[in-house]
Amino acid sequence: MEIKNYYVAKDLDDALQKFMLSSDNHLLGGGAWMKNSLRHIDTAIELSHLVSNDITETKEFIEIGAMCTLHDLSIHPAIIKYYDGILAQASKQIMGITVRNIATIGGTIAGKYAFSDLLTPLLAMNCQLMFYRQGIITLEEYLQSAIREKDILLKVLIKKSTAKGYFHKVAKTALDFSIVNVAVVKDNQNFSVCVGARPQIAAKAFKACELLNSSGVINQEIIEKAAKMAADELTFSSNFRGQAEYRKMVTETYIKRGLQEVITNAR
Amino acid sequence: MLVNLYVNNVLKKYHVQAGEFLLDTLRNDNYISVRRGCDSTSCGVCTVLIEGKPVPSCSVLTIRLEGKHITTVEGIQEEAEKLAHYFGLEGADQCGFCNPSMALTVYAMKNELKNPTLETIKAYLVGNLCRCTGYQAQHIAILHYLEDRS
Ligand SMILES: Cc1cc2nc3c(=O)[nH]c(=O)nc-3n(C[C@H](O)[C@H](O)[C@H](O)COP(=O)(O)OP(=O)(O)OC[C@H]3O[C@@H](n4cnc5c(N)ncnc54)[C@H](O)[C@@H]3O)c2cc1C
Repeated sequence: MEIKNYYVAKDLDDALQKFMLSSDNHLLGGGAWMKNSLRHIDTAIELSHLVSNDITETKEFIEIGAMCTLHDLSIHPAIIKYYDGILAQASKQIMGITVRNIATIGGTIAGKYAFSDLLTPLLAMNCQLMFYRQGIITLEEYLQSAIREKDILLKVLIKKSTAKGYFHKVAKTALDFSIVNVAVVKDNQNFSVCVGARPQIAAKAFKACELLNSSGVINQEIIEKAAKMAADELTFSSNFRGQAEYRKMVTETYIKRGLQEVITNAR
Repeated sequence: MLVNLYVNNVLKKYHVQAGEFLLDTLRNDNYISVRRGCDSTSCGVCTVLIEGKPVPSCSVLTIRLEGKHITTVEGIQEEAEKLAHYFGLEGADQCGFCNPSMALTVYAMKNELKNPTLETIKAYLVGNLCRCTGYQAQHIAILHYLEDRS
């Protein structure tokens, strides 16, 4: 990878202006994925002095600075405590400690990577994103928007809740990308079932969630129906990691297990 | 551009290009214990510590590190020798290519985790690949090293 210039922005306005000047200008997160995916960068824009890497708690939210590393995410007490720690579990399963010490949550979200293990639990937790220009939008909106508006992600906001959570990554080895990953959240009677690395980007199974949310008592029959519905409504495709049919089958199984776990809370 | 780094607590001044990675800066300055492996953040042999944290030097731009403390295996010599002793007892190395990075990661783990179990050791070291040993002897050696309070 070739980088011509390195620019330490004076403030966020300055960083955004520089970013918008050229499609070859890039904001630096941890720089881990960039190194492997971009050939040429005209100007690499430093953000680390302008965007927080802290995790803080307010009464209602956990606020994660976009420069927070995956390792810091995986060990923070609030991330471990809420939603049964599914975000910490997902972070922990990404590569080794060295990569997790540089890769950031900001670079992960901005990259909208189809293989991402973090986007799936973040989507299931209905998190919100605070951008410099656009203000606060939901991750769901952000992932669905086709156009990548140039903006700077400042924070990720996760609502504090007593919700139950489940995450599972299906991969061939500890260092490999997911063949598929599944996150399930139950917040009171509200269910959120999400699947990532299909190998398309993480998505919510809306019909399955609707069925679960409208069923008073959730018994085994509803669980099985919802899991099948989710696997049917989401699209899967094949690549060298796995076939579409295989992905669909394991998705149904892990959604079933996820639902059983968040309902019975049996670990 | 000029960057000041503390490499093993010695102040070093490097003139670097915007796109120069720490791995190249260190190797060009003869820190050849920092190895070049996959050069794509995956194998772990280029590991160094930045402010005590293990990172892949192949993917960190030197220019971002003004004033930071960098540790290579030469900076933890006593601990590395102790670990090497236990590696020797278990026959836990062959070519030795991954040993400096492994030693640095184990050292960081020792500072970060209290009484790690075999499972947590394995999880911490998952990004440091070794193509000779099959890991088992290394894990036993690391457990013995951690038990050694001398
Ligand atoms: C070898 C390797 C293996 C990996 N394996 C996995 C895996 O198995 N599972 C998984 O989920 N992930 C995996 N990842 C991806 C990793 O988890 C991160 O998602 C990825 O590295 C991006 O984070 P970063 O900080 O490195 O971003 P960078 O590479 O710095 O940036 C990525 C993109 O985001 C933009 N960006 C960065 N910060 C911001 C911001 N604040 N606002 C707006 N835009 C921004 C950049 O301009 C760039 O376009 C892997 C990464 C590597 C290098």
